[in-house]
Amino acid sequence: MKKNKVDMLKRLKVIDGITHFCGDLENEADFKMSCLIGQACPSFIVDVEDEIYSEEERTCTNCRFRRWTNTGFSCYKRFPV
Amino acid sequence: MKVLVGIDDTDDIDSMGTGEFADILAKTVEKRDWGKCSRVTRHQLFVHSDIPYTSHNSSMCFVAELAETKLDDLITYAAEFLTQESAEGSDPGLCVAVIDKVSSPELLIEFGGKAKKIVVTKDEAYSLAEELGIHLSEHGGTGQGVIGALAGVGLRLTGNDGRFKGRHRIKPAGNIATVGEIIAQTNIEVVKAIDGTVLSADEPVLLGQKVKSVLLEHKCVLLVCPAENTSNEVKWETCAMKYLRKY
Repeated sequence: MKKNKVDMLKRLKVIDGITHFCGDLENEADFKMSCLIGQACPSFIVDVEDEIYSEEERTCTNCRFRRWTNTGFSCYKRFPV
Repeated sequence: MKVLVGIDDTDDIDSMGTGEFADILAKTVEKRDWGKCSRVTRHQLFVHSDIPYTSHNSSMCFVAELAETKLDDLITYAAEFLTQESAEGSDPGLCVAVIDKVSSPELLIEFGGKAKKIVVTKDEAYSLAEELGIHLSEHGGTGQGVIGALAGVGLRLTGNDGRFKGRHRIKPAGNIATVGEIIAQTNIEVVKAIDGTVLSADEPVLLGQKVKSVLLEHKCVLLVCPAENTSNEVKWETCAMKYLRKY
């Protein structure tokens, strides 16, 4: 659990005061981390079907509160895990 | 007459999405017997910190085959609908273009392409709409949505951009359907491998969880990939989201 938290924090960066997930989602380990965060998140709500990123449902990338950026995505709920 | 209707920025994080708005508009056109509508396409636009989109910066567009006398009715209804129903805090924009009357379609297409790659402004959008004789209007907030609405129309006009909204229901996931069955049961026009090969009618395809189509060469196209598990001798399967994201 502690290792997961450390790995998660490595992928979260604060840019202009906003926390972004900056992993490479084409990278399996980074994508898996977005799933772990989504699974642990109390605020996760799946987005509308046309905005679904992955068949793996419970991932930040499929969440209604994720906001795509040019470095990855941010979270309207500020990654509450 | 054929008309392109584009909308953008009707939502906020808690509201109905712009795709649902487009669907409602298209259904209303048909319910009121103003004409017939195509399915809605979703067009990805530029993602940049200078652009105040809600979550993904995409606009929605559909084609309406309209009775000549109903154009003003459509515009009036769509404008009122966006004004009244768009989320508080949103910046809705509406674009309506009569395809045969757009004076320089290549400029509209160029604008759509630009909006995928760089930040474009409302002023640019309004200037171009005026030049080309296209309706463009804003219906709340900053009206920033006019950019995406116009861009979506330009991108739909290419016939080579966007994913169709919604999914096709043929058989449950894990089942096999032939190309002929797929085309007969849906409005998919072509089944094509990601390398561009067009599949013949008798070719079987393994159906995935979500069967989604894209707009290519002005057709509704189902993309397929080589099947990962070939034990049942089916060579093709519907493409997973990772292949469709770029459309």
